[in-house]
Amino acid sequence: MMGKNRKPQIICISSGKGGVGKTSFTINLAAALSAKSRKVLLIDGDLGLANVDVMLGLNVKHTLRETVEEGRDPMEILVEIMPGFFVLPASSGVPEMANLSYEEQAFLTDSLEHIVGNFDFVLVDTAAGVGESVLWFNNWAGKNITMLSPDPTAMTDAYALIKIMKTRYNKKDFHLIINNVKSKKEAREVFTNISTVLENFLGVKPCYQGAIPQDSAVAMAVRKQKPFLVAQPKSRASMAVMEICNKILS
Amino acid sequence: MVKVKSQQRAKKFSDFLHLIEEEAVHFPVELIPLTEEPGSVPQAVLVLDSTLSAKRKRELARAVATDRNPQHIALLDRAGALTGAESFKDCVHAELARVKKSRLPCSLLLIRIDGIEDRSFLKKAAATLKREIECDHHLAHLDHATLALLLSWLNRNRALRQAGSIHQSLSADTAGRVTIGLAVCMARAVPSAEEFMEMALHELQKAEYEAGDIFYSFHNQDDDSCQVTAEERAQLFSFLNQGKKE
Repeated sequence: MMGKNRKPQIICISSGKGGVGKTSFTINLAAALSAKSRKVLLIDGDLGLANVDVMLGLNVKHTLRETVEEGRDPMEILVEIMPGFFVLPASSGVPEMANLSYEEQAFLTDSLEHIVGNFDFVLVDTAAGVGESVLWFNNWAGKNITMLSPDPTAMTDAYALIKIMKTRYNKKDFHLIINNVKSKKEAREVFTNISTVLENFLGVKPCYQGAIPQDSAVAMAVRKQKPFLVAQPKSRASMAVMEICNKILS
Repeated sequence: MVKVKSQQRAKKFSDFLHLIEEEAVHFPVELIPLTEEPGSVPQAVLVLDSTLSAKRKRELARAVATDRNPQHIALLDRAGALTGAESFKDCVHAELARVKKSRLPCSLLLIRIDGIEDRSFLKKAAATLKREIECDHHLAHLDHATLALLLSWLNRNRALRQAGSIHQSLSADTAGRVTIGLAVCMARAVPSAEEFMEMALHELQKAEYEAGDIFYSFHNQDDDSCQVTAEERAQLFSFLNQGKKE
């Protein structure tokens, strides 16, 4: 199907708080990277309450649940969204998948590691919160992107997630994306604030990965079940995602 | 499950392996050649019922892989039923290597039971413990009164629950006292096998000499240090408050 033995960049996108825009951003980042001729795998890391398939209007036959429970090869589960953009869908409404045992987690990691060599980028859209699967995907990834919005709960939860990853897993490099901002100035202020606290208390210097402005194109694309990059490529949100994509590629 | 022992000359065994691979296609079986290192000549082959669940197949494969060291068999305790101390140390060593690689924890329980010197009671206690544990966990007889249990994948809470359940089951079997020392190894700070066993022994001694039947410790006791403090929150929100004032 594809050439193996690439060394992919594995990027985990988390937020702590739900509803911050992880899934929407991750789908659009995958679309942006594939538009730049990169082979991208998007793993729906919300294993018990998956949303990627819903946001892309997919009618999936197989999910990661079958990999965990039956040992199905993840390559058989892959869905190609557009040239170079593949999705590994997860199940929805399956609490057992949200609480995998350590053994199951290890087995899933092994299964995923067998296929990631087919891609240039592997993006993991994790569940909200700081559950085991969120921490484990963040630990597995080589690059950690934390999304937050300019409200106190999102900032606290993003900070808490970074604190756990730093304290328990000794992760040091974190990339922040500020979503749903009114202006670039607001994004910079939020970033400066949280990075000051991270530096003061944890000795962590996060990297500013970018910001996505408030844009009605985002909500419209969600209702159309399409990436906004495809539905409205000239929208402000699309331009912001392309900017972030270029930064990742550079 | 059939385990075919390797021949001295690998070529002959590989011929045999080739033969059964050809035959296997006619049966609902799955063959897993066992090798010392990836890519080396198989030394044995595991034949699995292909209708088993993936989870069960993994359990069996792991059980065989960890049990195929011939020394293991030679180092059973005197009763011949449980792994002996020397072999168990190898198991601990291998398990800690796994923790480092997989970043997932493991737990070690040392269990001392009054009256276990009696051979028939030892067998009964071993049977009780085997009912409690999964097949990829290791049970050993360390000395005359001490059993050891190495629990793969179990974190602090699950190991404590398991220890509580084991204590209850063993206490029902004996009028004597059952004490347990538990050590948990988290991936962020993996001790040596000797240190890990020492930690569990220290907890066992505390359990024996202090009030209480189960004592536990962690190699790096900072599990709760991730909580966001009031100072951190205050600083996070100071930016928002500044905005309001302006």
